Amino acid sequence: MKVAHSKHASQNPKALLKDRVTVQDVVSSRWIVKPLHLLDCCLETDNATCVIVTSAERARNLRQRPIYVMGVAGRVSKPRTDFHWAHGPISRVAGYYAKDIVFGQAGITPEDVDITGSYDAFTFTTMLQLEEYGFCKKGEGGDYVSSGIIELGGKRPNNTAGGHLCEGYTHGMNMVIENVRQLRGTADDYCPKAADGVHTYDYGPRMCRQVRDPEITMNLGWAMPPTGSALILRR
Amino acid sequence: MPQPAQYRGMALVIPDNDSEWIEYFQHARQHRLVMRACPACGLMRYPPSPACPWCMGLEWTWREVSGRGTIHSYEVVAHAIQPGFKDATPYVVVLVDLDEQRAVPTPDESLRIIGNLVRPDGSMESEREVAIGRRVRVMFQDVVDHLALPQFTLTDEPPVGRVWRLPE
Repeated sequence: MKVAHSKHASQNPKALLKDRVTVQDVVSSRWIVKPLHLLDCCLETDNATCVIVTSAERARNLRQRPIYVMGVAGRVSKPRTDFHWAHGPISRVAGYYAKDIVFGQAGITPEDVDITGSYDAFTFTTMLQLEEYGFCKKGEGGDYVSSGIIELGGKRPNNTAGGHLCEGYTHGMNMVIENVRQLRGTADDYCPKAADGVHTYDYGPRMCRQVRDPEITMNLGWAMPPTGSALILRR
Repeated sequence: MPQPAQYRGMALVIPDNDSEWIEYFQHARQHRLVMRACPACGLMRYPPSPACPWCMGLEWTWREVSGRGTIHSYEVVAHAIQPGFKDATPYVVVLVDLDEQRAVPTPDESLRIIGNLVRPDGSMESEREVAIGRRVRVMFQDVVDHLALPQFTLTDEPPVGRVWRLPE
């Protein structure tokens, strides 16, 4: 997870940590709280994001290309919110309860999603969410992540701007605006003509981070293990 | 309740209007571990919340439990946030399934409580000793005359269920 997000951050001029790291870098970093190493933990940053939500009718007259909401589930909770460790499997998080709401609204399945943006305060938060929302089976998150699927160039990249682990921490909202940029084709990467929407699709360091023609993105938001939100967008 | 109590250089305060915790710690001071039990459905809960999380009933009685249980999960704190814990690192925090309500009302649910894993003398237990499935019992760490903290210490009983610990 950290390795993938660090690769993505290396394509993001605005990311705080632009250096790519290896699995060895992560597991040899100092312990914070076992089983989490320093590099399993997100950044603490002061930054801001802004999302403008309006009707599709009004959006058509605005300067930016509109991106449409297909489904949204807000603050879905596991029973016994604050004491979720006493209720149900300890590894079950809010996505288990949110997935049917949000996929039902959108009328799609995880297979239809081109890009995910998942809360990554820690490496495990993204892993649990990818499992709960059905991008892989429960317990197979490690294999899913290690397969390269979640990296730029893979089938369904996650946190293409680097996420909280590498870009900066804005409570999941930076992943929302990144998915909007991806759907618009306006990722602000290192491509010489990125400002004109021209991308090379070369995912080497300090190069491109625009995904080729994504149609549907999904955000997996997390307030705590038992409380989260989800958002599916389309262009 | 006289306030505050000093613990590891920190001031522990239980607000006067926090009736649940005041009563809980009054029992703990007598070295009794008590849970709130729901008269309607009979299930116990922790922390001592005003409503039953299982049936939403608003009544309760205090029920003493044995304090014996099994480690459900744990973490090892290597980087302490509070200055008072820095000299104790690495120390273990355990999540314990208490025997009275293990795997109830469903196989994945139990009456669970969190504490430090300590030795019988109250010092922090070595992280090498902890494992999911190991048996523990409550021990009360006297802080001041009116306050004791329920902590957990390992027992020699055989482990329960799957035994697992983070590989070195």
